[in-house]
Amino acid sequence: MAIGDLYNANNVVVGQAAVFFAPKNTPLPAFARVAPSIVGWNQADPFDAGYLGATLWASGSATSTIFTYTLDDKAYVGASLTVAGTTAALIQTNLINALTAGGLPTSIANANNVSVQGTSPNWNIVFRGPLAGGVLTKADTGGASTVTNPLWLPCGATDQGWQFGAAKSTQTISIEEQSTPVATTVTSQQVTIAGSLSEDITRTLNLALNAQNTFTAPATGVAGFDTVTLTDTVLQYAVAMVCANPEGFGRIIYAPAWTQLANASVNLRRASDKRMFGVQFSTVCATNQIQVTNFTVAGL
Amino acid sequence: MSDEDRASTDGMPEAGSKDKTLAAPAQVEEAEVETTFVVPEGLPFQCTAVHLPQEDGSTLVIDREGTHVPSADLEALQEQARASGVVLNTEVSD
Repeated sequence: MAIGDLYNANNVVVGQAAVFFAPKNTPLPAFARVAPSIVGWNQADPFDAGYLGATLWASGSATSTIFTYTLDDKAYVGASLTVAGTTAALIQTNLINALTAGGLPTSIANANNVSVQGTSPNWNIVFRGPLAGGVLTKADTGGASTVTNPLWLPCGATDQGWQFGAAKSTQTISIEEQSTPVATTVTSQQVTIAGSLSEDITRTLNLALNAQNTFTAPATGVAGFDTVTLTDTVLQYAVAMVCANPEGFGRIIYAPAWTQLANASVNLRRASDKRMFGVQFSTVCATNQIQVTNFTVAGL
Repeated sequence: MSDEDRASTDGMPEAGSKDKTLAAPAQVEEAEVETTFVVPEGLPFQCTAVHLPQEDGSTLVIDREGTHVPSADLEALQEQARASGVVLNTEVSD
């Protein structure tokens, strides 16, 4: 993938960069990826959701289970899946059927956006594109299995991509005996990632408003809803920005602690443009914890 | 009238009785409600709690770190939460 290539392997427009966030101090997953694994860093496609968005299902002692994938508060419940003899294809079909039964079109709920790989009892499941960012749960019978969801969530679509910056304030040190400075020190430095989020969902509201939410389940005659509550407590996140590079292998910028305190100003107009939520992540960690990993040589 | 006839069945002293004390009212012992500690699974990390509206108009709040719920209502609560993609895990210790 060269600079300027806006499409990933699934022919989905992903732009020049994609930003993900997680609880503060969440480390990056391991880079290792050996075929046929679908997790780990994909050298051919930096935007592969298998790196930051892989879910692990360990079937354990369960004899059957019912998966539920919850995306933007909507629950997609699958049919019962028998553990014994199950395959990646069967798990994939089970999940796709749950999504289509819940109303998603096949243009979204398909084998391109739901990937499953592994060998019993451990299965890796990756939800891609519009399906990314949800939570997978299960209801077991006959025993217990475990689901480990990714901690990383996508910031989602933006208005004009992302802007990465490292602004420094410096102090020159001069002496009388020399016209040019003898040294320059960095008095302060601000590393930022800024963009305008364009997905009008609770996840975006929480980020843009420094807020958290509670979820109230639906009741008779009352729809379910999120309650987004702003807080004066500054929330901190781990943030990773994935982008392409000239070598074609990709680049990832990461730091374990960022805040998001940009002023929010959203236009709600009848026929002008989409709602946009400006965000600017700023690091609040030590300088040496800010890492830029630039992949330049193919793996073995 | 014999003393037996005058005997009161409600514990109250008879008129003219020198006993001024009143019988203590019967104590109503509140039965302890058995609870189960549950932890909600399936919440995005930005979501701090799940609220489950009940038929009596109250709302049961299940905190992300875990909450005690009445054991008698556990199965119904789990079913209610599951419809929203939330699993109330009981295999945890508080």
